[in-house]
Amino acid sequence: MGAIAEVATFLGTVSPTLGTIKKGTALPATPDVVLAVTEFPGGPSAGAFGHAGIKYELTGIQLRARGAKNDENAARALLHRARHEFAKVQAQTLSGTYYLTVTTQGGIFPLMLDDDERPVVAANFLVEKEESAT
Amino acid sequence: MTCEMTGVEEFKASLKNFGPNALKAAGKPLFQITKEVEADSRRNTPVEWGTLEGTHETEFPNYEEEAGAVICRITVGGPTGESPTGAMGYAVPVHERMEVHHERGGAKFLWNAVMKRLRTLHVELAQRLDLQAAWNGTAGVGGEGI
Repeated sequence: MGAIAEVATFLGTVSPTLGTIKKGTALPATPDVVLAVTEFPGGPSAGAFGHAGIKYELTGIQLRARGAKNDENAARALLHRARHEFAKVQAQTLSGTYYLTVTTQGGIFPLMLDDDERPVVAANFLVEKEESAT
Repeated sequence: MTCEMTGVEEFKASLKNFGPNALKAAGKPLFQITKEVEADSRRNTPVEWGTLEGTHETEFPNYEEEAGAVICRITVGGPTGESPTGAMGYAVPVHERMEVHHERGGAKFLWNAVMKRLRTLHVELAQRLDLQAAWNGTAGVGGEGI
């Protein structure tokens, strides 16, 4: 399971009221209000004594939330909740992968309007974790 | 036999001022490194008309002596707070939307340029630091000497 799936599973478990959490950048046509987890290159990985190869990696995680047309607040509220839950992760195992720290990178920002002019907001995180199985 | 030591007070004064002076001396190499990061970011900026690539700017070092910090800031897309229809409103989605394909460059162009240098930054900075200027207190501040 990759980082996207691990984070999505974690958020779905810790806060079921976040609704269905999409994996990747493609958002479904419905419902309007939806949360998604996507990934970007974070930073250089690191080894460790007594461990051959990569031990820890820096992974970039981007959470996105969409609201109904002219309702950015709903998107922001959803992302705000998800952001706080995710930022609490520290030294714990998510779906079999050990996560050391989650660091927020700036605040929530407007990302775009989708094809139906629904606002999408996003927030970035830098995650220090062990390598995921896939 | 007698031994006379001179320059003790001058030495003490130089030692006392070495910290703040080293901060000033760090401005120049930090600015140089930041300019190189900016150049790397420019190379990987998606280009259609070149507008976004052309908005890269590296500010002169900003010294915060109380915090013991020197900051060099790269801005892309114009001043923060620009209207959503302005360059900032364009820069953010281009930088943050990983799913968009570009003929040249790609998303996270600035982020990737910064992260590439992060691990070696302290070593590069130490290698380029003019210790003589830091000791003598002759390092320029802001744009001076850059």
